[in-house]
Amino acid sequence: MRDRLGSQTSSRRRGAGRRRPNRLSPSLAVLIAGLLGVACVSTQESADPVNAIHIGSTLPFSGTRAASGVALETALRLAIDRVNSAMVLPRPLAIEVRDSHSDDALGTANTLALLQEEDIPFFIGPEEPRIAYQIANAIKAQRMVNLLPGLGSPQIHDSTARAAWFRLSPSPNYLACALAKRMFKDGITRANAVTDPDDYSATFATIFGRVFTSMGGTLLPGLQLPASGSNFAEVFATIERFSPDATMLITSPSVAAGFLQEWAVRGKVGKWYLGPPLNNPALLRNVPTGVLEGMLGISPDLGANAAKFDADFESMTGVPSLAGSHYYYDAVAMLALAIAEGIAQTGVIPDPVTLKLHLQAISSAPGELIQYDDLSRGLAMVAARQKIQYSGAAGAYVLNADGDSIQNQATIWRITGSNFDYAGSELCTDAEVLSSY
Amino acid sequence: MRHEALLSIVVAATLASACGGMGVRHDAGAQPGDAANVSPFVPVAIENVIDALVAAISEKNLAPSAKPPVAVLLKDLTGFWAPVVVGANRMSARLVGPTVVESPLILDESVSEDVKAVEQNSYIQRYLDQNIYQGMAVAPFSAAAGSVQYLDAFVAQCGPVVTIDSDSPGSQRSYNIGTANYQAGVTAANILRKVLSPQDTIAVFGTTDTSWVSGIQRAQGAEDGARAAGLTVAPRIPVVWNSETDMAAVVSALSDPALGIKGLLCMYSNSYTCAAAVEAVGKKGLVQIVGFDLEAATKNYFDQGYFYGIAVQRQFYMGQLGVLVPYSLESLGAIRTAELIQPILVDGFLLDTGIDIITSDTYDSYIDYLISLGINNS
Repeated sequence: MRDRLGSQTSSRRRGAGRRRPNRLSPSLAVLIAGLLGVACVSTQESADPVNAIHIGSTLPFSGTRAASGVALETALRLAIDRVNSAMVLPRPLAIEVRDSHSDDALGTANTLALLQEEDIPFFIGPEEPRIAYQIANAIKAQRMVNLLPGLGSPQIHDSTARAAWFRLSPSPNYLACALAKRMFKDGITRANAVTDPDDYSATFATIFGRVFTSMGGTLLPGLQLPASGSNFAEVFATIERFSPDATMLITSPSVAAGFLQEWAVRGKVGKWYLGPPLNNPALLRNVPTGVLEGMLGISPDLGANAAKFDADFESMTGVPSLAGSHYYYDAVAMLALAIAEGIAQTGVIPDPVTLKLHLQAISSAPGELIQYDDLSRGLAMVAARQKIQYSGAAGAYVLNADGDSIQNQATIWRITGSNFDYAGSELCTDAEVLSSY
Repeated sequence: MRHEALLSIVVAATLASACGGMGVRHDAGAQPGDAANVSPFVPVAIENVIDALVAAISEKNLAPSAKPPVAVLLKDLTGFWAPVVVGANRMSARLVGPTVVESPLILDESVSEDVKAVEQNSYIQRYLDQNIYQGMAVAPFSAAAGSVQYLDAFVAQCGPVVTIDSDSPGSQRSYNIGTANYQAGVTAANILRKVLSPQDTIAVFGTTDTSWVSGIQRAQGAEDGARAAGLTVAPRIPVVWNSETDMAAVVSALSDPALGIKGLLCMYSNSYTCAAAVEAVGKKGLVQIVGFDLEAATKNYFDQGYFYGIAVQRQFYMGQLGVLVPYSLESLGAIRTAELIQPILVDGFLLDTGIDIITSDTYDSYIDYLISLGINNS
């Protein structure tokens, strides 16, 4: 039953036969098509020998989140190529990718089908929280390791399971707290949120409100964006009725582009702050230059390596990097290092529960600092049972006992022309978040 | 086999959903959810009521600007309340309705409930000042007159109010959403009876504070249920929420040979105290326990085999109904809403979210269910 795909193209793997009608704007569709083309010619297909160590993934190549799928897959493949080039692991890594279609139902079905068809011990993604929930029991039943690098990934814990989940990107709690602090500093005292109707957005808005209120601000009712294709007149009318000083927008770049263009046409009433998914070139490419000038947003602080990674990534693959690309690259890199350390110590690929210890070991001090682009040396060192500390494309990682990253600094950015320029940092302590939620 | 069946059902369901769902981007309400829908823990009656309410609301085809903003004001956002938050937010997404979910910041948990209520009431005062909200779900810290006046002011000025978990029976709230405590106590007693013999003696570890109405009701239900099941009921072991005092009381009762206690019904989130006492007197396996709420310490003892069963509440559904019911009251009206919630309505005011009983045989299945709902993150 195993479908060997070594000679097939990336798009074939994504279940093209089940694709939904393209409902993107023509300009965005052209952009995506261009990106796909670039990715296909510039990203090497990983070898897929019979005895490869298989990694599964489900990413959005179509639908509202399509602007991120290619970049995230490219990040995975770039890291896999580097790991395989090192020839340290006894078997090469190979990846099987499916399309989530930015749709919980289709993405769940595609992912579960993949997990049924293939013998896959490791899974990276998905981007959509509801898909992660729906596949969790299959992950558990098959005793897999699920790395969740997505900005909107949920935290999944089950101490009774012989599977393991790792959330690599910062908790929304801390980013929401940081944004609340920044908005309050900016003189905002009445705020609300316009979001996609998903758990990540809801959590973000809830924690934002908790912190914002604790500082003396007033949280107003949040609004969910309506179905694609709707105009947003009612949303804008409702916001005006609530009269916030500012509103945060958490949605995909494609939806945000349409929404903010309508906001501009309506006379730019109200002030907006943009959420983590919108640090994405696709937003700026789909909104006329200048419309969003000066708008502020928030993202995870990716640390000192990010700029170099961005440049390397684009020059090597032809695909622009996104804020999320770093975490997907690091997911593969850290997984490979942990596997290599486990094999060095016991002779076998570690089971999921043991892998957690190896992931913590290869990412924590002390040890020789291994940069994201020096994977060969890092793999060789752990294979020689030497202690390393991985410094990823997204910076350092600190994994807690649950397997969640607690590296939670936030960066504030400002849209300037066609760039996201640095506009400050915010860091929230546990006490400020006031919540383990 | 069960897992394979589950997977196949989910895949079939999701594929079918996908085929029917094209062109609808944000239909969070028709989430594929719904590995949860094949779990034995899915409360079918509640799901049916929710579906009926949502369908009726959908028929109204409310313009977004006509959708009533709902405030959900809880006691906290963490711990017991975290699934309530998730449930409320999911329902808000399903209705695409304007909602706020928040709680007062109580930095010192040791202050009295009345002090906490003052902070909570300041939120309600803000809602009154804003005059935006048209419905509210609140988990009141206090049912005293000082707090009742805020709820009543909201009803008079803004719209319908429901209470979540704790109640404010003296207010003009429309419904209380939570566990039917007396029945929950009865159910716990019947579960304990399964591992005891007729005439065995049990004791209820529960409150004797009559001002805590829901606590008293649960303890009374447990004692009445035990008697009805043919067990002998020893004098109640009072819960005073002081860990040392409570522990000493349970140890004392277990050590009394005249009582000969064979079973404990432990009513609240401090059920681990019962297990700790059994451990202290060396009677593991000799005293059977059924407790409430899967707190971390309780779960630890459960894993060690001290508990036969744990009764868990359905906070997720408290959150779902907490948004949905005031929204329905405001958009469908009181009469239509009352018709639709009838299947889970108890005593004319309580929307019973029920309990689940977890035993070692069902624990894994229960955790799978929570994971599929996305609320097992602690």
